[in-house]
Amino acid sequence: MSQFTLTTLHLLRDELTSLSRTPFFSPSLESYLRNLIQILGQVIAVYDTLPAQTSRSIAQHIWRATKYLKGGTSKTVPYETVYALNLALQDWTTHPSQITTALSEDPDDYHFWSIDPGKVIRQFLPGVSFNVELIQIALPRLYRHRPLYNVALYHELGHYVDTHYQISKYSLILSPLPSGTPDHLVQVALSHRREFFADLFAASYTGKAIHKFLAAIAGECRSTATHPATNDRLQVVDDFVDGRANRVVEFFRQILKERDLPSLEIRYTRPDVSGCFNGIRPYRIANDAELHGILEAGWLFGEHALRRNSFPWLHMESEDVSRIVNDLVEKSIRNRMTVLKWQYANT
Amino acid sequence: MLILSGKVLRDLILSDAEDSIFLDPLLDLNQIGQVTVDIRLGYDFLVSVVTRKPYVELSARDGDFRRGIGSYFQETRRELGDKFVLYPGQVVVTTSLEYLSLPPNIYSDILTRSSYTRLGVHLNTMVQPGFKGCISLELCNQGNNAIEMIVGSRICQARFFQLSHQVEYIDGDNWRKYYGDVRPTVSKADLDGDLTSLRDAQRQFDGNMSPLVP
Repeated sequence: MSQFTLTTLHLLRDELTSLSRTPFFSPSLESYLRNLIQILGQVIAVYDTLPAQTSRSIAQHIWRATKYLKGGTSKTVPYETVYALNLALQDWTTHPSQITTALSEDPDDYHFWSIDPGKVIRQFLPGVSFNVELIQIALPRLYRHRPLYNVALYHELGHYVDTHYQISKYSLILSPLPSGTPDHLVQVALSHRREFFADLFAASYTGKAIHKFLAAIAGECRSTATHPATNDRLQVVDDFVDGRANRVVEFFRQILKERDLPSLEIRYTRPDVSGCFNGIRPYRIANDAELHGILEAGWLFGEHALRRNSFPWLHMESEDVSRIVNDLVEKSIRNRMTVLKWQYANT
Repeated sequence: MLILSGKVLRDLILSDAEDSIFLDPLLDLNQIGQVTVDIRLGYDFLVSVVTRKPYVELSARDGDFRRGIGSYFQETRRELGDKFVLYPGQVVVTTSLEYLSLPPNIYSDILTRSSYTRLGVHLNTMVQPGFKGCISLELCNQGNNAIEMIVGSRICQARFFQLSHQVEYIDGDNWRKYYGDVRPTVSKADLDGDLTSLRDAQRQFDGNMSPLVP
């Protein structure tokens, strides 16, 4: 047996033990982490009896999970965005799950890591159980205080919902490709459907904001093996948000209905933030629908403010405008979180 | 200047008018006292750390490397109700939980509440008329013991004064460095325009050059 993997498992256990001594915000994450440390102990104890591939696979998945768990303890992740994502998640599942967020140093690196370590480990150690499913999402560290850019995380959450319910996979059964289609083209179709679903999921909470973000980050991108052309994605999002007929939207609506899942619908209300934001004041969010909707409102207001043709934006540098609008959105969400916590504690 | 009393403060804070005092979130109306409003500890912190550079340098000489002020501070966040430990002698920059927007004719002083002053935490800052943002709170524990601070606790009090005339907080020529901040920002003292003038003035005296001889 290779000492290399055994050493890796020991190092991971040390790392997780060190993490466990950092105060978490979430009791369920604490419990998850304790579980993971215990499992590492079990794996190390029976290491000599495990096939090399098994111990290597367990080490890799725990290592990856550690990255996202570290994000949860770094105390720098955008908790306002994660709060909004948790609200959205509650619309789709009551399955115990925990969003963990890693901050990436890579440009434009928004991603969802679809393999829950718990599922992998259970394959090899059937007696093991986990209290929650980890939803592992990453965003660029550079944008941690740019909630308007983090609308991309709704897209990533859409990937989780898709994977969890196998929506796109099921779509290949409901609407199969012509027989004899080569496997690689089936994979392309699956990838494109996944992207369309994730876009629609994001649009149902953030409306035009996901359009604006996609256009900004990938406006010129043509179709690839993994992603449809951005123009096609924007068209689907626009048709959905504006209530126009679109075959992709209808296609997913039908699948969700057949699978008895929540429907694809507009789940936000766009608040009028202009009075507050023009006065450089946060908006008092009234409900969850507005909490999602402030992201669309923020994008649209930001475009107005960046024209810098009216007070108070007249003499500002464009980057100051961008910062202030993002900060007002972040503070509006944070104030809503604070007020609800306070009310909960006092009732 | 006229100090504003509780009734006036309450009316101004609860009003939605443009010239009102915007303070949000106001978790408890009892924060408004007879002549002050209690201000709560925010959740973002910049904690001073010791570096290899022996001091914070504000003005680089030509060709010298100057370590950024931000590198002397480490960012961290807490949630409402979490504790934050303030160590003796440590400087921590944080903000109020509340976002404050002052009209152009109201000025505010921020002072530590007596309960915290007695523990060795002293704070004395001012908020200019027209300011918008979370109030920057520069905490320093001058006692001998570390102190547990609770996010959301009332650590400061604000006194508000009405001016006889309005003041322009920002105008085209006078951009404010901390305008609209919602989280602690490290000092931008190194960006003060005067520092460049002072460096140039100091050069005038180098090399036995008399400032009086061109």
